[in-house]
Amino acid sequence: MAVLVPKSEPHANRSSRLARLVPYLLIAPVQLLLLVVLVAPSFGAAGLAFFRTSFGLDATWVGLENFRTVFADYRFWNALWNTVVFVNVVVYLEIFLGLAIAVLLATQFRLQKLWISVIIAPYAVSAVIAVLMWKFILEPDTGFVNYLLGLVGIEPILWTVIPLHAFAVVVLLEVWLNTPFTFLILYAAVMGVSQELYEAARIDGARGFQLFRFITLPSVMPAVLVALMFRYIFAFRTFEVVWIMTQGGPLGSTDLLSIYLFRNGFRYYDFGIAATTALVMVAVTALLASVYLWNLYRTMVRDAR
Amino acid sequence: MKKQIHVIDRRQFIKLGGTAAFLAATGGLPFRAFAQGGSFVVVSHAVHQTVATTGDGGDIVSPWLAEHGIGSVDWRTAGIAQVHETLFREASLNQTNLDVGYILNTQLFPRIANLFEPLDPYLASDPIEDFEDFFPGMRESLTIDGQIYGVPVRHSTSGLHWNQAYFEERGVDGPPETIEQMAEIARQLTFTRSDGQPVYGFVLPGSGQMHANTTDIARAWNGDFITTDYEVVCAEPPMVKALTMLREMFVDGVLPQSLISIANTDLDTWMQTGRAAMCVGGMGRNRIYNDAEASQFPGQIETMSIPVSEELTGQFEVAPVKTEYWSLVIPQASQQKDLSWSFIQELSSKDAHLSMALNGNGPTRASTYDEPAFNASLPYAEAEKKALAVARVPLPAFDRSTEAADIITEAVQSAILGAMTPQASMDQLAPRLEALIRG
Repeated sequence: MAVLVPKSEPHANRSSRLARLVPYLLIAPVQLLLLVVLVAPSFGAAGLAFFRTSFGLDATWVGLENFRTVFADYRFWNALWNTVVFVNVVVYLEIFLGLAIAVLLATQFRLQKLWISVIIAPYAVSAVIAVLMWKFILEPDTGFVNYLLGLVGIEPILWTVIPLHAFAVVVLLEVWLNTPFTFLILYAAVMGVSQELYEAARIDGARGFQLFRFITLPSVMPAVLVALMFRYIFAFRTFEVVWIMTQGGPLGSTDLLSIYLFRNGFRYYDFGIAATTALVMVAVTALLASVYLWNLYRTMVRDAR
Repeated sequence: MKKQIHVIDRRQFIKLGGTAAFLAATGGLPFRAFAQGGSFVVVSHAVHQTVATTGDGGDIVSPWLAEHGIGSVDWRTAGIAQVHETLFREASLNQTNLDVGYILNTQLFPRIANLFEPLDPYLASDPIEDFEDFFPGMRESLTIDGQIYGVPVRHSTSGLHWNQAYFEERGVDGPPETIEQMAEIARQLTFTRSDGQPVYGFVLPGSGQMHANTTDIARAWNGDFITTDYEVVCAEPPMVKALTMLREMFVDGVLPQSLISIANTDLDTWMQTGRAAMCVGGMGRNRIYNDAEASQFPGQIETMSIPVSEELTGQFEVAPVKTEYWSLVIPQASQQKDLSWSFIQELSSKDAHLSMALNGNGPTRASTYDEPAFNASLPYAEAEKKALAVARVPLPAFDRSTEAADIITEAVQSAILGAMTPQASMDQLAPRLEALIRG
């Protein structure tokens, strides 16, 4: 039996196909742009890890030789160790401070808006300018900090000469610059905790730290994890603060992987080693992020049940 | 009258953009034509532009521009590392609009020489006036596999700068004759001024170029980290003696405790403000230290050769200090090489060298030191000539010399700050340097 098909149907099909294509066509320019400026160069850079290449040298395929060179270099392991310590100290200090300030400011506080502005101010300062400013402030002979210490009878501190001091200085600078970011995420989360939960807990006899431990902390934990993940990734690639302040010294005490990469790529022009270091950094960052993402996923699934 | 504002609508914008893209793709934009025919591009440090164009010796570039009908020189100036990065990157391209580059001696080694034009054919067909007049050591190090790749244009040779006012104030007679005397005098010159400002007897910049600055002290014993024939000698007595002396000065507070964070440019301020009584650095810095507008001690900072150690007194008149020099090179990818050569010729003539020397340049021609005008203008001309007779580069050029410099700096810091003894630090450094040279 013949089936009657309305004449307009092919046209309708075409229209519907076109309608389905429209969103893809609209986002295509952006995707193309990302492909050209981000994806393709990333693959190109990753590919460099398997070549020996520099100025005046034709690229030669070396397989995994660059990885062997990097893993045999004592300065790589020193930089990796410093990076792991640096990232952990910086991120947990920032989370602790960010959360503490967020909880404090979430209570009724006089001049609350002013305090929030003051706390997020470092985030508005260019990292380069901030580090140069602190470099002058911490100058051993003429710096303001040692001048103040001198007024109370404390000997000048050699901030960037003693390895431990130098490490502490770059950690504190990074924390000073980035705590506002953590604070902003956590402050929003703390403000979002339902007041009814606190009221119910108070009725049950909870007070002070108990309210924080059993109501605030579990409620803001997803936000803490997000802040933790972002800051882990960002802190892992910290460069300008350390480069301007200490250039990785003294005695390699503040040498981070990002500085190791920069040296190999832009001082020694060994692009293969620099690309290899970048791949290692990406791998370690992805590994760290995946732990937190997995944790986040499990929490979401559990909550959904 | 009401001011009329022209607003470009979307259609006009698309038309303009399309036209520009088409012209750019076909090479038709006017600025492209100008870059090739109307200007001349040089990548250099700012000081190279300054000494070629301003000062008592006058501008030596403008007459050359007029002669060749070129509008201007596009001086692309940057810091030392950026100059080389730009130069190497541009020279690696198939084509570049860069015409001439300045390169430091430590950066011109066989692999990098591939990027530049051998100059022998130019020297043979259109020679530079009295090419043999350039210091032989410089010419030799610019010759790779029998071909010369650069023409030396500026040197910086180290000297000892000392503040005469402090010598008089502290009752010290004259400058030191040996390096041991220098250390003793530095102790006498370490004091606190009546205005509360501490003065350090001796300052050695410890940030960035510490390997080179330490070499200057080691040369008092004729020491090296790596010799010019690539032998690693850092663990031998001359270098260890130098490091031991510096370590003792650091412990005694003669060297500032912030030593490793003091850069060469910081040292200018230290000398100008009198925070340092003596220092080691390029002799050319004498002008900066005595600058009437910037210095608190104008005309009172003297410059001399670095004295040798007591044990080498009979062997050397002055220490064979470090000298580093810049040369002019033509990238192989340049588009107007004959013009580039003409520019190099102009800057390399005897007259141009004298003019640049009067503008503050360290001349690389021996004959410039015989010029009365130069000698009259430069209080340290005689000292510099003596130093140049025996001076040599701090490190020989090889593929991984920059990496070697960084490793040396770390080892030197370790010895001076006391993390290791000088001998242990150098013993640990030696195999690392061997690996870089042989690897």
